[in-house]
Amino acid sequence: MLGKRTYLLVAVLAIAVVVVALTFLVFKPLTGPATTKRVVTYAYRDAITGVDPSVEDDTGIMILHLVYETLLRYDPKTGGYSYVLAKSVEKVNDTVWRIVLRDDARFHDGSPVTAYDVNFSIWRTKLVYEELGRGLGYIWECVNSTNVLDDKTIEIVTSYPCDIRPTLAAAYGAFIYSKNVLKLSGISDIVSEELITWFNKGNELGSGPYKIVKYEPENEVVLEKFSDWWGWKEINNPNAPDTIIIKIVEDPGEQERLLRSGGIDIASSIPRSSIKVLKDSGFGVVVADTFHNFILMFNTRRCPTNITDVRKAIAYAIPWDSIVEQSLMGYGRKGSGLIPYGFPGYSSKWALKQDLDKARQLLSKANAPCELRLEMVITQGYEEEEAFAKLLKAELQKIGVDLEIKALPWEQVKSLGQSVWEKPEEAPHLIINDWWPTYLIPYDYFSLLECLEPEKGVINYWNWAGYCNKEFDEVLSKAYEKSLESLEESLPLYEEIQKIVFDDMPAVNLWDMQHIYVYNQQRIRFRDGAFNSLYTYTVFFQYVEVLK
Amino acid sequence: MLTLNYIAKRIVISTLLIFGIVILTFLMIQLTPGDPAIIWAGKPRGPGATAAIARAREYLGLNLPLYQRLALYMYKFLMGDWGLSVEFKQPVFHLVVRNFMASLEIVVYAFAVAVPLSLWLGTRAALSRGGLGDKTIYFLSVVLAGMPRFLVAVLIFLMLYLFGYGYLGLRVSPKYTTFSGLTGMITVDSLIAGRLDIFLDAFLRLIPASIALATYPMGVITRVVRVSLSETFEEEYVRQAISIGLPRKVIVRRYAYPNIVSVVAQLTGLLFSYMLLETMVVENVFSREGLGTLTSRAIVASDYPVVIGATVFTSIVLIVANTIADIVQAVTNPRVQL
Repeated sequence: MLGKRTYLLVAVLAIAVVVVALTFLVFKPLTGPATTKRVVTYAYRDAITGVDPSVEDDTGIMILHLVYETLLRYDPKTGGYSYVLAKSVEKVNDTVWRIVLRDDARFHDGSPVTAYDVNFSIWRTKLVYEELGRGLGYIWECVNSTNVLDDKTIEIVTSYPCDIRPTLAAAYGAFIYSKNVLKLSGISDIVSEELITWFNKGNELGSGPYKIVKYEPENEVVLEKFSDWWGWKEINNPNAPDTIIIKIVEDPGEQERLLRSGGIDIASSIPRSSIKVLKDSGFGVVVADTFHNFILMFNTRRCPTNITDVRKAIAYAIPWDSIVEQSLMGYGRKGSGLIPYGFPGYSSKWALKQDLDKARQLLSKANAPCELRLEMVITQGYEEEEAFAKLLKAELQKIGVDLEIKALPWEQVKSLGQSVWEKPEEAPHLIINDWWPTYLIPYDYFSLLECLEPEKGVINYWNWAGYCNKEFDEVLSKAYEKSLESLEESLPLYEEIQKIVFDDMPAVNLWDMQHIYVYNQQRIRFRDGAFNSLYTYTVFFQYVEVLK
Repeated sequence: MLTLNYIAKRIVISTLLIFGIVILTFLMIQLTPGDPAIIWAGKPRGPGATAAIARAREYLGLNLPLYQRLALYMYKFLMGDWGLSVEFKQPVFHLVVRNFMASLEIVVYAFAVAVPLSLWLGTRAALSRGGLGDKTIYFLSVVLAGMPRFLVAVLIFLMLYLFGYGYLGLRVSPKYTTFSGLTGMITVDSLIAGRLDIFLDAFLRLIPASIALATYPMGVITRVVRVSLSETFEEEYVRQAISIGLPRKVIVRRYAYPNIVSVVAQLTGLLFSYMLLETMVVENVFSREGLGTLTSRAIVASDYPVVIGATVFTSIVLIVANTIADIVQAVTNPRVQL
């Protein structure tokens, strides 16, 4: 026998269910993405590692290029540079460059961008690197002094003939910000950790088209349109987003789910196998060329990969012509030398072809004194690396080499790669390092194989091959100096370096990455300029249209 | 007096436990691979790299002997300085609390759903012991408690998706994403701010995640209430009450319920810990931020300060929750103090 209370409870529950159901129906428009502002939600796969414009050297790039500006920007169409904060960059003589700033640029607090701010930004970046070793301030290495001539003019004096333009347009370490950050933060020491922390809490004073309004690097970053940005009138994009939500979604499957359900508008990392299906379902796909490549490094300090012929045998066993189709599902380019396609110094002549007979001959010639059982470490969650590793394993089996594949989180990959210097026997025989440049100097890629002076404890932590060749280091040093002076004239030297790499084979570039962005075509349009191969992972949202 | 002594004893034990966990976590983290100095230094390149890493090591205190590092860590921990995250470069305490509040919000709502429903279901089952209602509720509770949370969450999300509510997966609509408040729980902060639109939006998004999370405590508490009440009904004093013709509801409320309060309180304390862990799965499925997501990202990035901070903070919350549950049990059932 059921009592009154039971009936009452059932009635309350029924009413609750009806109320919730009605609320869902009635308030659907309220909870949906429709809004008066143009909001775009962009899913990015990695957490943001920092937003100090002088220090950040990793994933913060995608925020920094929206919040701050550089003086010049690389123009992938011409291979030259376009003006951003500078309106002219003139070479006065071999060691002096005069930069005149645009008149209408303002920081987010409304103050004008002046030569004093440029001076402040350059020196903080340079000093933070020189005194703390933080950031990528080495790009200002040739700068000896700076002279502010007036509010809008600054001269950069270099220690030796040095083309400053690649530095002014660098992907990292070239951002200009207001010197008022000292007043705002209440910190007077420009190289202090406190100031770095202040920036990394989401504080900023840049001049870019967007301002940071919410900074939770582990979850999401929200940017808001800076309406006084000088560029709005030039690019004439009334549909540019008012609010950009950069949401950290690590799992590509989750990105796909969110894209389909309307939770995000642009996905930066979708399972490659789903791209065609999404395209057929009406989603847009943009393929952006990048200078981001995947380099296979051989442990040159552990048997058998310490033998050049074994390394070459492995290189010839790689199914080069299948990589793009099978590992990258067509989105990428076959590697040719360490320099990626489109980057100064690239040449297609270094491309390899699979030749299993040659690989067998090389192996037999090598006569390795240890077992042909190799360990390979790849980064967990990188589906293209996983697919490649499986391909390679199958091909190596054909020439009698066993390959054990370990997929590890990135930090552990890095740690194992670096262990080649202290514990080469514990470091894997093969390891994949993905790399993108800081600025338009080929040294950036070859620096991965620079030895430095390990005997004095000066180690190159990115040389996961443990490769040490004094001749290579000498030519690289010459090429680097020459490229600072004249990129064009340095290219023959880089070719010489690539020849050494080809002969010694401590590393091979497997593929040049193309970044794939899948987006909701009903809401988003990309204009020219939204992607730039030098500024990896950055979407220049001022060139994105959000349709209501 | 005995209760006060018991409470004091429990608090001392809990404090010692917290210290133990801090030390143990700190020591265990030292054994894991990865060098935080290299992560802290970023991507140091060129000849300056070695010096940069050495400076980072010094700044992070990694060059000190283990016991000094531990002492320094304990001192800073007590002073509220839990360090900076090496991956996110933000204060650990701030990161942990922000994400904990997001997780806590789901847990609170899940309990709000689970506790009254399971009490009602458990009571119905106990009252019709052996009957169809009892068997149905028992079966339901087994299914609810036994189903993996990721499966429940995925099924709920799939249903939402099929019915056109897939966008409810986020914590709040993109247009409210900059809203923030004192507690970090959007539903509470929006009410404090008088923003009913935000409350409604956040609340609707909480329902599916909370229901997914509530299934486990519902299943477990229902079964415990069913068994405990059935046993209580066999007690002499309850039989007496029945024999004198008191209404069944009065018997349940006045005589049986007080007898099971301590058991339910204890169980709820334990479940609270478990649910905090389970939120990790639910957060992932519904694309919500929270402590689980933060911790998993920190582990992958060898972000030791965050891993230690999140572990210790969670432990403190769990110990406090269990201590409260113990105290409630001690107050309601003095036998446990003996």
